[in-house]
Amino acid sequence: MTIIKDLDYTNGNTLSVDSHNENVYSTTLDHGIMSTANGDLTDLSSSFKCSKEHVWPGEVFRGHQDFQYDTAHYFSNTISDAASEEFVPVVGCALRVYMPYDVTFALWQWSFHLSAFVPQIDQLYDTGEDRVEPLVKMRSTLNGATLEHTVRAAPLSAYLLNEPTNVDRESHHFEHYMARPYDMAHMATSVSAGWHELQVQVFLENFADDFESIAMDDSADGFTRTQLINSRASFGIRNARVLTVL
Amino acid sequence: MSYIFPRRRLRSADILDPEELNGDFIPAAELCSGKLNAHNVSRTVDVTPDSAALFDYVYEKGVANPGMGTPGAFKEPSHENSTNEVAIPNTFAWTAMETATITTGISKLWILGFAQYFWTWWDDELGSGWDGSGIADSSFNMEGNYPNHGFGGWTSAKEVVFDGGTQVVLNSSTYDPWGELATKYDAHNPSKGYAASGYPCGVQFAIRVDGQVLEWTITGKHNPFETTVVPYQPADVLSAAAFPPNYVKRTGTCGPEMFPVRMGSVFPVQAGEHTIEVVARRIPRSAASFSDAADHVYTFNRQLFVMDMPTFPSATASVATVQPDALESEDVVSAKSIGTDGIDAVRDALNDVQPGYCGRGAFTRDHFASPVAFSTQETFSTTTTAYNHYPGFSSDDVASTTTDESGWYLIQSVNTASSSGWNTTDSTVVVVLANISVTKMMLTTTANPYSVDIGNFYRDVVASFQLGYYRNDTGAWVMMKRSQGSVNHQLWWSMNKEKYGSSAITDGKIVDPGWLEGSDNEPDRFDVALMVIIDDSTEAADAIANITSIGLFGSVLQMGNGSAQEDNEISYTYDKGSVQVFQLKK
Repeated sequence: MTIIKDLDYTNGNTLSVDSHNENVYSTTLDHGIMSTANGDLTDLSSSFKCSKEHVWPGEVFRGHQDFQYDTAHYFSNTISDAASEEFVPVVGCALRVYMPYDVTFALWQWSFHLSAFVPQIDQLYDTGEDRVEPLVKMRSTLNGATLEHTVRAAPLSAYLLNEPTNVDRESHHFEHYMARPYDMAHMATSVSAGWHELQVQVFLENFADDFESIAMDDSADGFTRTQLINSRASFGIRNARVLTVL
Repeated sequence: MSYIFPRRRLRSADILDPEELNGDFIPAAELCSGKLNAHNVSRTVDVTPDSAALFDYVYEKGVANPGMGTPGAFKEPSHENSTNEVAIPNTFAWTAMETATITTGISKLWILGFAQYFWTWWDDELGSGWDGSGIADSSFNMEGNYPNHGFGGWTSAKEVVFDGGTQVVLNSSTYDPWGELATKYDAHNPSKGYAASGYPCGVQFAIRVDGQVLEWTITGKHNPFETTVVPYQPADVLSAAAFPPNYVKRTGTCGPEMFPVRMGSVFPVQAGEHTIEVVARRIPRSAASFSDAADHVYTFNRQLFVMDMPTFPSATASVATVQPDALESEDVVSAKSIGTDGIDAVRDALNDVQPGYCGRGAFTRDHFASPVAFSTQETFSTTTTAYNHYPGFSSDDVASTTTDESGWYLIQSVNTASSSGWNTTDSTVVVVLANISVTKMMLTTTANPYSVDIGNFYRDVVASFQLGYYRNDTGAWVMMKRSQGSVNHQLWWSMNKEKYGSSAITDGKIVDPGWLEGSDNEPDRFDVALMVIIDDSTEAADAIANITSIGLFGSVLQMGNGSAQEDNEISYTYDKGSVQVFQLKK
């Protein structure tokens, strides 16, 4: 609204004190140059366009990220319970941020390098089971809720033929072939201000609990050895990030 | 600027002191001279941002056709098919794959990078013919090592070294880079069963800004030579017979022979011009000879999107001033001195605020409409096996079904009709991301698995994905081939299955009864991450206004395949994924 003139100064007339004061500062909206300038200016030039320097930082776009370098190894016999899918957070692949205002969308992204030892075990020596394929999978949660479209199973990466006379401990591992990067995303729209947290989590089926007799025996040198086998997920360089837009 | 108040309220008996009279309007004039800010402008005001005021961006891309052919003539990816690929030297040095520059204030950069690599040539370093020179000599009969690659025959491949970073073709030969030595008996022995001779591709990608590799974006492990323990646990650790620990090497890089790599970061920068790059390097397998090794990795499609998100207002504010005439001692108080040249001048300025009246950071979110014109995410979770064939790198053909048809199959679309909020009038930039979980890529065979060398072909199966958009005005899909990404089946044991097997055998089951019976596994389990940027510079001028759908597409091929392995014998299976689209008004 245009600032209204309360006093039109004219020569030869008595200066109206009250009207002059209203011209300077008024408790009435749209009166007074000082009072209107205290948060009620509305009349921008018709060609007004604000420039980059006029935008207060972080008021439209905000970006955050966190990351971790060191490899984190997760073993199936240390974190899981075969009776249920217990996911645990992948350290360094999470982000907790405070959003100071509601945003149109928040684009969550996360990356990690995964090398996993996930064996397929055939012809179990002791139990006679046909096959074991322990499950290793990752997922992401946002504010504690699972993002179902982000669930990914780790690829099988080793083949173990469990026969006493046909065991090769070394040449059936393909973890290095199956090592690969992941870069995933989730868009949340109409996000309210407040704290929000993304976590990448991993679950490793503890198949050794179910198949305690899974063993790799080798009698080539006269010894008979029994080894329990676990699966492992190793997370290399990883990060989590978010972009929010007003 | 903070709120202002008059120092005194004029009263009837007051002496008109010029200093006090000046105090009635000079503070407002000072405020109006480049110091107006969010305290002064009503939060109800909608400010129109100038171009690039809220954000700026730069988008660079390279499109390179790996030349995997068309149905009936599928072949191996090769740098001979492209003139726009970028080689990754075997020198362990980070090398730029794509470069962008942008000038910013003190900002955060939101960076998206994409690179599709193919390992297009290798030599069998473990083979008897390897002479260590990196050049396969005449005594090294590679062709003889790969007698069983039955489809497509030999294609030529270049032998390449680098001279000061410049790619030099040493020799053109006729070896088959994707040939494989495998028999059904070798299928469990990677050291024999793989052309790559037991090595992963060994490539890492990252984002580099102003010469600094952002280490958290590296697609690998921090120590690329890290050895990782094999999780065997001796049942009796005190036994003299217990095995010592066993380790896996070379797990710190991208292993597959081909992969689309997407990466990104949020990175703060100082004011100035910045150079952002997608970089790549290869991690040496061995010390001396690797830099000259005859196998090479090339980046084909690549993209780099950098968005400037200012975090501190630029120092180059343009200031305009309001300059009323101040009253001095013995000046006459008149309509002109206190009115026209004083209070009225300030009032007029406040009634017509110019950009220069406003200070740095004058406007907050209350003063802007969101620049987001459109934003949505679509997810899918139905396990689907598709047999549609790769129609060629540049083809826009769309397959109407999942089976036995040449063309791209629409996996998931995002409705971008104007009724859904899509902006058809302003100048906009569109960012599209997609992820798809590919659980397996299959090769079926009509032959008895025991009767053929089943290990030969499975790694040749390639699934390709890309993003496209549908133009309502032309009624056709337009594929954005710069987004095309490919992965191949890489699990080392065969995934062959009988095409006309027993009813108990469904897609995805391995049928070699002696080795792999009964598995209904999902051996590949890739996550394919794609991206593409759409703006006025990447598409036809009227394209964005006519886009009514954006889609994620897939297809499958078998390299080196002539006509033998068609008719639903190759397939890819996916189970879930997502597509994110947002459109920003520039």
